[in-house]
Amino acid sequence: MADGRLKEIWASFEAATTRKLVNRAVDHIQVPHRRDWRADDEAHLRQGFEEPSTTAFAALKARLASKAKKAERRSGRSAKSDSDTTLSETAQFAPETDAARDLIKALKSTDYRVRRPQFDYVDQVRIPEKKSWFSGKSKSAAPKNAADKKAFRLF
Amino acid sequence: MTSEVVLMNRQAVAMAADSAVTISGPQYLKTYQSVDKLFPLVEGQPVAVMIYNNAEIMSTPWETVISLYREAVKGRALDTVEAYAEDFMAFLSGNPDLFPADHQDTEFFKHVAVVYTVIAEDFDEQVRKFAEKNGARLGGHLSSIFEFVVGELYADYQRYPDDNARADLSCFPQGMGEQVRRRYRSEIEQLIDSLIAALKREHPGLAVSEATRERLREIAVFSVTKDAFFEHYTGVVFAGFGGREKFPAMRSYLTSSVILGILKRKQDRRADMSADGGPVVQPFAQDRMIRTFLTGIDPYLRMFMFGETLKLSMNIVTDLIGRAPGLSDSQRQALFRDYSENNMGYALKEFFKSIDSYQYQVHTYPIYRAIGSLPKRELGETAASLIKLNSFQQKVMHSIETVGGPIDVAVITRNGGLEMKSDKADL
Repeated sequence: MADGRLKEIWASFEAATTRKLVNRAVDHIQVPHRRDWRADDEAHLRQGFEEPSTTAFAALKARLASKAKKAERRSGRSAKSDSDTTLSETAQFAPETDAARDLIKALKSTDYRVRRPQFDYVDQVRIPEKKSWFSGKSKSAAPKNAADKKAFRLF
Repeated sequence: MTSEVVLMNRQAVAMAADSAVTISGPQYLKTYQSVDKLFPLVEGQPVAVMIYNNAEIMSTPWETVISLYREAVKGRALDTVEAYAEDFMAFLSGNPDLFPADHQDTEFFKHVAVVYTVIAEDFDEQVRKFAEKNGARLGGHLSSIFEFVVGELYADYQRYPDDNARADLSCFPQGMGEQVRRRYRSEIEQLIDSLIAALKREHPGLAVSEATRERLREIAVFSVTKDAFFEHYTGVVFAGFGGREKFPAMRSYLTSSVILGILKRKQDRRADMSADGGPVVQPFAQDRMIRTFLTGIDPYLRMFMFGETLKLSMNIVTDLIGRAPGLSDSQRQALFRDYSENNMGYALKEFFKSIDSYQYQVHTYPIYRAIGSLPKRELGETAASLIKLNSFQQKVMHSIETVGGPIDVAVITRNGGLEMKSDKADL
């Protein structure tokens, strides 16, 4: 589509301009695509591949829940609340701290030459449904600093 | 695409390049494997030049331009590799015979058309993604999506990905942006109209605000003046010995179009061998396998592992603090902030540094030590082997081999001059 778009834009410009144009062809121009390494790498992943940090954290959650259940059975008490047996959603909303941001920036700088990060309008307008960090209130629909969001989406 | 490498030790420089070129269009993608990317720069002088990415400058093959330069300078020696590089850039810039004014105008219009095509492509992609999830509501979001993609590119021209302010290119004089804006005002408007018309053909409901149009005007100017090469650009690598250089040197540039008599360019890498310095290994363009070989780990796997380690650590700390009894929300927040900023961040940085140090000592250093003392023939063979690694990976893993074909090698010594070896079949 990109090369088609270039031809469309160029043809429309050629028709409008009064400038003398030379070497008018644009067929040979390779339009740079906004792609990064993930697109190629992800093509090799199986459908529904889960990030290792998510898998590891889910395993940890399961292990903690199972330990808590065993402990309850041993003590003969039923769980008063599920806060100790099932993990809250809070960990899913780990805030982007400055230290983490610095770290990611440093990692990203290493990789940066001409690549640009991917971005997503859908993410930009999505209203989070989950609870916010620790407080239990809904998160604001407004995204945090766009640069921070971009930096985090690197991984 | 391309894979190229420069290896330097105190005695010699080896440059190697593959021969693949990729030609793509709306309905096709094809590669040919017989293209020249490595050339002698000046007749009889120990300096060579390699190109990667775009095979043309101003719709003229680089090979042609380099041969015109070679004819023009008639074997003239210069003191340093940097002087050769700058002389070549000056030949492209101030040469109305090569690129007359109306040619420069046309190429500027193409340059902006390509940048606007990037926007159109982003818009198409965002619309597709939005429609997949919210098909019925697309109409009400078209203008916001366009504003969003224009804003993203505008922001990319303002800041580097590490969030520092993006600099202006030093190759242009002060006021270059204003000159571009004044000279091409009406054509930039026509290109904006062309972009919007192209998108409206499929999305008649698209409306573009004056603020967004102004951003598009600024993007056209930034695409010239800012230190960003989002258009079709060429990497140009010079290496060898200047007349007064005892040890070899390398300079590489990103180059784009000649605009108002000045070639848009920036020097992006430089390396000078010295009596006590280590060898130089500089891969260009598709360099993944070369970097993997040199470091013992795929660079993207490294990024992935570091990122996942960071995320898992944050999740565990967040969870732990969330479970601690008897703390208020604000205490939890403060504890997390303190722990992540002062302790976890520090520990992770040290962890990553330590891994990098291990990587260097175990994998990189032994290779560098060997390259540092290789004779010229072996240096050339090593350079060619690194390119072969990339070719082989492409052959095995990708259906389209964008790196491949015969490998051209140049070996340069002060004593023996420039020697080139090509495996290509004769015509």
